[in-house]
Amino acid sequence: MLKNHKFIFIYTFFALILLFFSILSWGAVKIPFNEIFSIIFGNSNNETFSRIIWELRLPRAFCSMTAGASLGIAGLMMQTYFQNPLAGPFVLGIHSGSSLAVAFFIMSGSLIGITLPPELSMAGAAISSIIGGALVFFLLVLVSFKVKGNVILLVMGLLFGYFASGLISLLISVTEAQKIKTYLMWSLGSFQGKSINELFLLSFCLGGSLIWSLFLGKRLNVLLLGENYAKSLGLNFKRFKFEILALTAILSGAVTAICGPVAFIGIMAPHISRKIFSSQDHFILIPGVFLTGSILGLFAEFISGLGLTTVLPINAILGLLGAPFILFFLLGNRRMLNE
Amino acid sequence: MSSGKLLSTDRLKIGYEKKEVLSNLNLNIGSGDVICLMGPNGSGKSTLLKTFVGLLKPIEGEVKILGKNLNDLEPKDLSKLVSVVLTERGNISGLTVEDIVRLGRFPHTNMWGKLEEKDRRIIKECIELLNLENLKSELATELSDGQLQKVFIARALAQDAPLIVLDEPTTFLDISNKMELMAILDRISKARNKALLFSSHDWELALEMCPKVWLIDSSGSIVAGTPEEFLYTGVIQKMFMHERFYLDNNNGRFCELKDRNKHLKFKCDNAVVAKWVDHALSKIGYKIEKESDLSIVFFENKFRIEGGAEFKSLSDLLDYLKLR
Repeated sequence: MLKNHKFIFIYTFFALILLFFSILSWGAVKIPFNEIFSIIFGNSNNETFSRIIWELRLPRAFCSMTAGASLGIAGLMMQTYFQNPLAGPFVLGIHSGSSLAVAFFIMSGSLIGITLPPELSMAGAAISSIIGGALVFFLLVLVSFKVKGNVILLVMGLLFGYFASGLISLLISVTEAQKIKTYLMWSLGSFQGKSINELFLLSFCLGGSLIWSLFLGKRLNVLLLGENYAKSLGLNFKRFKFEILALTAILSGAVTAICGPVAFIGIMAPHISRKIFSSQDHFILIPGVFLTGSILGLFAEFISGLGLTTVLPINAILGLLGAPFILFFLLGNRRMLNE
Repeated sequence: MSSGKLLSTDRLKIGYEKKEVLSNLNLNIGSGDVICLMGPNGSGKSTLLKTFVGLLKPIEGEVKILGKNLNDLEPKDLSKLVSVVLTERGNISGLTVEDIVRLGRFPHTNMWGKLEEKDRRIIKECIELLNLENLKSELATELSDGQLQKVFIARALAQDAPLIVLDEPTTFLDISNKMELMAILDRISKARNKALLFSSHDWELALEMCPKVWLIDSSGSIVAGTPEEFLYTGVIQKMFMHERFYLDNNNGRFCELKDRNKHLKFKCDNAVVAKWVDHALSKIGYKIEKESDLSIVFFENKFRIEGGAEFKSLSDLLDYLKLR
């Protein structure tokens, strides 16, 4: 690692901490930074502030951070694997697969008349979401053998998104109102009001995947030369492909199950990391994306909470950030436009 | 030069699932050999190279590398025996020259890709051998085709396999870069005792610089030999046969068959000028004869038609003759 990488890590980590505490502090009730510290270290007597921090804002900040980091790492894996700078769990339709599976899970109960206890339904939604995401990823891998273009994969993702939302609309038309509401609330995407169990599941998936992805670092690096070079250098491509598939599905699936389909972080975080660390080395990019993904998650959540009285949907903010981001990226990349 | 058998094939048949490309291949590579694989476009050069690197499975027969069957080798073990320079470049934006060469050490480093003293030394030597020291911190995307080709050769060399296979390494290079590259390949084989197999469709390059050539013949097999041998046995003529070309036995080059039915007389005391003027005239159907009613004199860098016009350059003269 170069010396200036260390400094950039320190700066981004500092930005992360600052945003994290801004979310804790800002809101309908403003809590000063020094009060936050005394609450966290258990020295505060202010019961109201204490409850707001522990029950509302800390879970919210933690959730936006872990979800952002997870999506960022999933996006990085996908971009390197598909050798496509436009890849990401949202744009390639992994989220649509998860949404479809979760919709089936939530709404199929009403078709056969079963209502699950909440804990079981959370786990069920998470598992459906992971499986749905994995299936779409698998489909993409199959397609990527047939077609080589970067943009065609993106079109595939969009088409699958339309297909999934068509199916979901059909499901909605035969489901009872309460379950439709549960589904629609989920589908808007939110980092708020998550239970401790949900947060535990998220951080467990993120932590495991983060360690696993570091074990893939060397192989991800060699894949930059392309599949044939990687194979000629001794990469066991089949196994590698399976590991990437599993990792992406777990990361993106867990976030989607708990927070809903969160847009664009997965595609933006890797690009921002490559830019600020000016490196392609995955041993730097993986921790880098962990930080920038967290920051993006926190930033979007912070903006959504700025309105004080109304909370803006997280995907509205990410859409406003993400769509122009991709547009500028495309315009700055002639080679991809002409493909 | 060749000492000890490095690679051998036995009744090898290669190709794709639905299409057999080359068959009945009994080939040998010795350590230190530099071999040019010759054949027209689409004759199966890349298919053979991909088979040797393990990217394609043989349809029949076997490839043995240092006595081991290629099919039985784990990818990791094969990568220590054969390295490759392909025509594709991957997604190298953001990578420096040194980054790319470093990736060649992939089979030799631990799980974290950590470079040991030995790895660093080899990377440094490979960069030096290809004269890339000045470029090592440059971004690969900023380099010219010739420079980038050298970077990928350095990468293959850093992999430290006894055989390096190169797919069309000279195709996009200009003549001086081509010559330099050939010299580099020669240097690599001598300095590091590597065997090199490279494909090319450039017959003149092979004739000029390669003592050992594998020629893909018209029956879909491969004959090994020297280019000169292919010339006097007539194999090469058969391979590249075309109704508009013939092989000039004076220089081994393929020349266009020209219809030279018009003639003129050319007076000039410089033999080199006379030779190349004749060459230029052949393109517009003229031939220099001893006697002709059209006579041209070359004097003080000007062409003068006897009893007629004067031209400052050869191209002006050609324009005039074309219209006659």
